[in-house]
Amino acid sequence: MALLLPSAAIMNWAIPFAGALITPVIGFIAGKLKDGGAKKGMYFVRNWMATATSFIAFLFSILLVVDIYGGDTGVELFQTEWFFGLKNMLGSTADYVVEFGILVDPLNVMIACFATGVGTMIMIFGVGYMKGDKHLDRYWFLMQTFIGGMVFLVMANNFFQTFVGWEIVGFCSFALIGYFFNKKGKQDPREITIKEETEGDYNSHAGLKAFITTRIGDVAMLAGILILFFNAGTFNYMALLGDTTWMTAMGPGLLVLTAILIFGGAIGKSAQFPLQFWLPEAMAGPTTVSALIHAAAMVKAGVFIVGRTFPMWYIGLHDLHINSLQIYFLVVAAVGAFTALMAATMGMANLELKKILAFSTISQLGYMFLGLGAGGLIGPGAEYTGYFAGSFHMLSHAVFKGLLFLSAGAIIHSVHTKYVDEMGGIRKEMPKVFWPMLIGGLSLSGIPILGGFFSKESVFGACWELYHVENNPAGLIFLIVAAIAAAMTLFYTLRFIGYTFLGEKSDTVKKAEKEQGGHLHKPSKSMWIPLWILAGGTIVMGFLTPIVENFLTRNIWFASASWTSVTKPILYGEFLRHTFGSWTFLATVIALGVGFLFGYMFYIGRKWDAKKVQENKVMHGITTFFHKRWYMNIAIYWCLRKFKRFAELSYEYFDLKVIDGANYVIADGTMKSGEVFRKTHTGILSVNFIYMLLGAIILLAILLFTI
Amino acid sequence: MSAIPFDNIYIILAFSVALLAIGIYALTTKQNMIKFLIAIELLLDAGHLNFIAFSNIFSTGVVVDPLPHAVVILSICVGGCVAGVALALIIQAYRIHATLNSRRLNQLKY
Repeated sequence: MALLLPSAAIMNWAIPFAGALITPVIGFIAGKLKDGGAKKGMYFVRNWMATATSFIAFLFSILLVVDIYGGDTGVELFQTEWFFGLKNMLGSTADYVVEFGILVDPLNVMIACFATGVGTMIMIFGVGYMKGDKHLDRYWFLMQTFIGGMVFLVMANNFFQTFVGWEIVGFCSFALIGYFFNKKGKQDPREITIKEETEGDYNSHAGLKAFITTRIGDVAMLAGILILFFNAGTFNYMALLGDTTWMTAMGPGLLVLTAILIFGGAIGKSAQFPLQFWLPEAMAGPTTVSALIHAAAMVKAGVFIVGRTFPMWYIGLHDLHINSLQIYFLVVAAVGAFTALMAATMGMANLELKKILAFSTISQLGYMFLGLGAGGLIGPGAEYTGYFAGSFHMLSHAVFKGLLFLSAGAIIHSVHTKYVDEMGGIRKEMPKVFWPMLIGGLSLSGIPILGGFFSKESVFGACWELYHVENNPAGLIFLIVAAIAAAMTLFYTLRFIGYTFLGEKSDTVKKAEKEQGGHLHKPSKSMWIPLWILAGGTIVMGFLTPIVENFLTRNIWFASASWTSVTKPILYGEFLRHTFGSWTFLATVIALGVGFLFGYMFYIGRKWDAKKVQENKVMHGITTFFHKRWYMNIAIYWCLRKFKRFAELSYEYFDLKVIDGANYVIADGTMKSGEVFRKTHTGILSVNFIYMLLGAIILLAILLFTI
Repeated sequence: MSAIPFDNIYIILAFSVALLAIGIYALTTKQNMIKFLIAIELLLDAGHLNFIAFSNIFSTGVVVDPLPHAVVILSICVGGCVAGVALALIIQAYRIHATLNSRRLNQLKY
């Protein structure tokens, strides 16, 4: 078993990178060829190579799963010193070494599996979806780098390497969100404006917005990592966990600050509350890109880093009794819970299909953080409840959100509109898209037996555990907030499904039908097959729950911490009893019932009229408030515009007047002094020599008289 | 073999000073570039002589310190090369300006 390990752990990120490097070469050669079979063949190879590399990477990741069952967990590979000679920095005697290495443990193997697996489906879909685009070299290059960067990020064995992958992913997302920068849609305005639109509009603005916003988080994270490095003397995860004396040495205040700073990076990447406004705009990219960002890569990196540092802070809190770390876990949980609720309300009011899905992503990421944060507060005994909840929700979310985005892409591809209120009645036209999307939507909202139910239920379970076992009232609050968000989730899921597929055919759909010759385009094979595979995965995911739980508890980090049970056995009976016989299941049922009632009445059965409700002034105000995203986006732009004005003024008065003025003074002074002193340059050699002699004599005299 | 007696050093140093004075005199008063070159060579030789003279004073026994001698031989060689380069420059200057007078070469003057 162990023999598989070294190559597999490298190959699963090296192969997508290699594919990314080959792609432009093939594209370049094909571009030089004359039209014909050879050119077509090369383009075919280029388009399918991304699928192939992702799939091979997926196979290698699966090999790693086999390895972990063989007992290789928490294994570090290829450890070499990357930078060294950092000794005595800051007056410490510790030997600082920046390593390069690979760490294999259940958490990152699970992420590598879904990143490459869902990534493969997205690549297959992309072949059909992006057909006919002129710049596919760039597209495939970035897509493969994206997957490679994500796997590189999670397989790293130290913070520094993770940060490198973090930035690769960040850059690729920027370039892919702005993929249509030179075509269709509204061009980028010179002025900073408020946007409420997505795919194809304001592309490079949206890309830049994503990049800069996540960068704010990255700076915080880098600061946190460096504080950790200078205090603990290493970036290595295993080393940080192996010897925890640095934690007590750092002092509780600095420790919690460091933890929260690293969490800041996660906030930026995973679009949590203060930095969440970039993600809806990220819909400007092609749908496949949105799917990749939301399902497989990028936003999961934030959850990953919290999951990765989780055992560290957990040991600090429960073994070393550094109680200030409670603040950290509370912050994580509170940010998660608040974001889950906030994004759900925004999703209820939005009218763009992809944007609703984007808000649901933010909301679900909130659940993940809620699970992890609540898990950290639960003491030894109930152990990994929260850790498992956050990690497993990440996995099931990857599958159903990939599915939902790809379905949305297929719909937009056929109907040529992205607004749900312009769609309608295409269920009969596109059954191959309707059923997978329905399954994905139900999984998203947590309908029992689907994957999303079990993962969301385990998040609820973590909150309940926090209240019940630890007697922490925060747990109850989190549970209530999460349940309200779950009700909203079902509501907006039914809303977009009802708007899109059910009811009468709208004018836009009729127009699209007329343009396409009586019927809507049937989605091509490469587009609907991935949907069904992912739909199957969503259904299977529910049954996988105890297996994933067993898998995740094989984490060596747990064995080295105060976690009492090492591996949880796969017991379906106990698991089902635990799930369906708990108070949290009641909360789920109530939440789903309320969500279903309103969702069905408004959008499926259409017994109540949503427009009539809007006439109520209060309801209208609330809807507008949600639709405008709690006015946060507008507030951000307002601040930016004020800052821009401030920058302009400071340019006008400080830069032009003071700095430029000083420059002119210096330049004029130099010129004038030159005018004066050039007279001494006679150009007569003998005179120069006399000056030299004089100088020598003066020097001699000084020497003589001073000694 | 015995070392040069210590008193004799003054004779050598006086000769060196004379060479230096002649060199400086020529550099400050003459205008011919060939004369400049000769004067510079004289200055160089004055330096070499100083080296040779002082090479003896720190040596205790019979043996003269060979290092200054080696340095001086090297310096003479380098000085020869420098003189060659300088001569080449002077020839070029003569070809272009048809004069050896350094005061005529004042195109770079303000």
